[in-house]
Amino acid sequence: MKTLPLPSLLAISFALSPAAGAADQATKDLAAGLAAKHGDALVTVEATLEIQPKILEAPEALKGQIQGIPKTEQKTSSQGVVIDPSGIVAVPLAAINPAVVMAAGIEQATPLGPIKIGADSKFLSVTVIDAEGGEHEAEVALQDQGTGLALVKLSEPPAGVWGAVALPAEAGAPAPFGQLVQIGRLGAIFERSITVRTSRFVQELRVPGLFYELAGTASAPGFAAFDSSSNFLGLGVLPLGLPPQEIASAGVVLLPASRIAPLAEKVGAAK
Amino acid sequence: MKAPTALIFATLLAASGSPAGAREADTAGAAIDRVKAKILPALVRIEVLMEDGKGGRMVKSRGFGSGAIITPQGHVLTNHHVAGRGTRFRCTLATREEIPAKLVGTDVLSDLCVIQLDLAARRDPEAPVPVAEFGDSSTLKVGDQVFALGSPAALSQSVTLGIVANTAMIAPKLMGGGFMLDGERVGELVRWIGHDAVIFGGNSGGPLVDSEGLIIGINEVGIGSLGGAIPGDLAQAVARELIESGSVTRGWIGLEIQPLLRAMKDRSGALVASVFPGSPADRAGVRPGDFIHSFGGEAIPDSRSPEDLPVFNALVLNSKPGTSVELAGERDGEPMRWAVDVIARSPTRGFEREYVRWGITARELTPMSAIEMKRPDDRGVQVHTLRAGGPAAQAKPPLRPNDIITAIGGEEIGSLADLEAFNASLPEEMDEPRATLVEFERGLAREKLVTLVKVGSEPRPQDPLTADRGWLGASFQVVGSDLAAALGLETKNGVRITRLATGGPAAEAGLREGDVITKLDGRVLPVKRPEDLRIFTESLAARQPGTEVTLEVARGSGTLTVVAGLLARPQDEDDAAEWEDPHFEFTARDLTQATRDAARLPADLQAVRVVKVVPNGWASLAGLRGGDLILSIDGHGIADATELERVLKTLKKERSERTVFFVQRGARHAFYEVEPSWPQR
Repeated sequence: MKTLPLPSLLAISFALSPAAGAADQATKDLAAGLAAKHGDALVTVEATLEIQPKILEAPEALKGQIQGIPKTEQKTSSQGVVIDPSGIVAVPLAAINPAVVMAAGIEQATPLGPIKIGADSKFLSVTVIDAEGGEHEAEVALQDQGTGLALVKLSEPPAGVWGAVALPAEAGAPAPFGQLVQIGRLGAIFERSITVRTSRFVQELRVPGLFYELAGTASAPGFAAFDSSSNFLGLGVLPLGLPPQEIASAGVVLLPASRIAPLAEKVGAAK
Repeated sequence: MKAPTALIFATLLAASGSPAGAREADTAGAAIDRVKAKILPALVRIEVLMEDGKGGRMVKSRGFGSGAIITPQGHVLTNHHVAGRGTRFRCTLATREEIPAKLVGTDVLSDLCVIQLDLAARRDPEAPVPVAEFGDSSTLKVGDQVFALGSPAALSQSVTLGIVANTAMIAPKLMGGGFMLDGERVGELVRWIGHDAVIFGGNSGGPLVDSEGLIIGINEVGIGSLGGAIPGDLAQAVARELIESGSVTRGWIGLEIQPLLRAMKDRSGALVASVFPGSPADRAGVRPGDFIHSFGGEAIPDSRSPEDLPVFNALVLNSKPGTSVELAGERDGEPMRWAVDVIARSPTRGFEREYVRWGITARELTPMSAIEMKRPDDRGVQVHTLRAGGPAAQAKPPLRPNDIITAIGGEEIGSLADLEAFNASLPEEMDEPRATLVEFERGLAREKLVTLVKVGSEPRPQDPLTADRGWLGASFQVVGSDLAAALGLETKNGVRITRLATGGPAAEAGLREGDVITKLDGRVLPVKRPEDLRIFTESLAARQPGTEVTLEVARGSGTLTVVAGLLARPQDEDDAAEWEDPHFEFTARDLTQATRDAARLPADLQAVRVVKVVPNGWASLAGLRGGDLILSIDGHGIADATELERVLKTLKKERSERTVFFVQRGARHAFYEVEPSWPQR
């Protein structure tokens, strides 16, 4: 197990809310404990992908005119969480592959009728940056629009055993309005320091599939959430199963750990 | 529309009964007949396939223009911007016969180009060739009657009538003093014949003729309602040199002039603006701020406006390389004389090629481009464009446009030939890329950088797994409250089954097309608008294959409950095996069951489906489209993407000149001839 270097601990930022200033000592201790325990499971995933927009539907008169839209190369970056010591990282799919938001197609009006534009995407390279800034070549082992999850696997096993959050075999929903702690890692410009926030569980969302709605400070997807007993609850994701125009308004939700576990097994994570 | 106005004007004059007007009308009518007789038979419509570096590839585009046959050997004079960058030419003669042609030579600075018809390809190769003749453009006056001939908008050959509006028209400063064409400033040499005979895109390269039917200009630009033609005298001289030697040799002394400043009322000649370091003018001692009064004994007119500058430029450009010319002028009020050696002027932009294994297009440096880039010489290769995701773009640090590659693997790269020699040293087939150390220089500061380019193959796209997803085996539409009411349903919303997959879970469970599902596992479906359908399909997909779902269904006036066991979602078309061919420039995939169902294709149909066609790529130019089913190529049946890859790779090895694709499009079939050119490695 790698140890969290001192500078990272010092750089930990707290955003305890609601009423951050009024957070009790127990919450502060919990947050600091989680950051210390899981800090080296918080990583950054950088990807380069090729995005090829495509016409899914178009009026016949337009089809011949819009055969090709130039493909583009895009670089993405997201925080992620190591969920297996062999180096499997759970990361929000939308954050590393923005083209999936268009997968179902976005309709646009034209004088000749509506066209629906989608996009194909291919990952060209993926890099996992560990807690100490070390770079590791990786590949996207699985991507699933239903859960909004991507699982990234190191191309070569890590030299040591990586710290990983444990996926619970069985997990129920937290108590309504129960307190949660989110931990994540900021980008390179913020020296990849750990960020800690508190929030509250609001309710289960059943459609499409099970997600948890959270209240409290907003955060970029890719954070890990824990309950007050330090159990891993899930990963912040965008619910890609919604119609495209509703994804943004739905905001970041929590993908329960119970939905991550079977997908992790599929790519070789230890049970 | 100018031509009809001019014709009406002529008609009005005739109707006025004026003897002069009658003569004008008669003259116009006779002139039109002469023009038709003399020049129309020699008029050619030119279809050009051009290639330009874009995104790391030489991207093809199709253009049209006009030209006139000027020799019995079938030489056609047109514009450089019509045909100068062409790689293939098809010419339609006045007889409507279409024959190929080849490039003879091109001159960017005058925007003139000569191609030669393949006369042997005519139906009657021995038939005489109609030839257009040149007139004398130097005697033209404003008001002279002229005729523009060409193929406006690529339509059939046409004639329009107008008058000379200006004999020395240039683009004013407000318009940037002209326009750039392949790195050259058009207008530096040419002063156009302005006229109001209607021309349009497609007229470019077509002749402007006088009332005797003789060429006095080559149409080049349209500025508002005025056309601009390159003077025939210049065009004839350039054409002669292009036919004789394939290029135009021009002189260069390395200085640029500008009009005299407004404050220089007592000065004469032209004001020297730039003197390039190391150039003949520099070596002779000419300095910015000097005034030039004569060039080789020819007096320079007082250059007080941009229209005056081409006179001096033409003297320099027409001077013979290898000779010495005396410039006379003044500096600080003192008379000066400079003996300047004329050297040959190189193109401003070098030849460009694509290098597939590098993911770049690159240009040769020329002495002129080296001067523009402040480089000491023209050694090196200029990166022009990069392919996103290609080896050069993926290098760390990546190469960028305008970087100058100076060495590869420690060996100096002085020209494209050196780069090609390196590429030739690579094996024909490369399974693994070769990490290659590249030294290059960036920017005017010539920062010296190194990088490692993995030459030979693109990064293999990753192929992630997808989650197992539940599948009911049906297609649906959302039924909102209005539609529900119209259908006489009690429910306010649901999803209606529009198609059942044969043998799918929905069909096996007894569901029927037209059934409306209102609840999933006891919950009302939150769907109201068409786009909400995704909520239902994703809710099904989120369930594991093998699980059962309980559906409440409205059928007719009743309701029923159906339990269906979900299966794993069959392969999406996106997940089907595909082959992206970089040479024929299209991508096709295996036919999936979903594709067969959607297009009602028979189960035994063997084909691949085209999913992407590179715009203006070889497949596109031949007529292939996305959605086409390729049944065979050169008679080989194409059952899947693997077979497609094998057949196309064989054709590549054979460098096949022409390949026939047999394609099904909807209910129709067609044959398409794809004629790729085989690029550098």
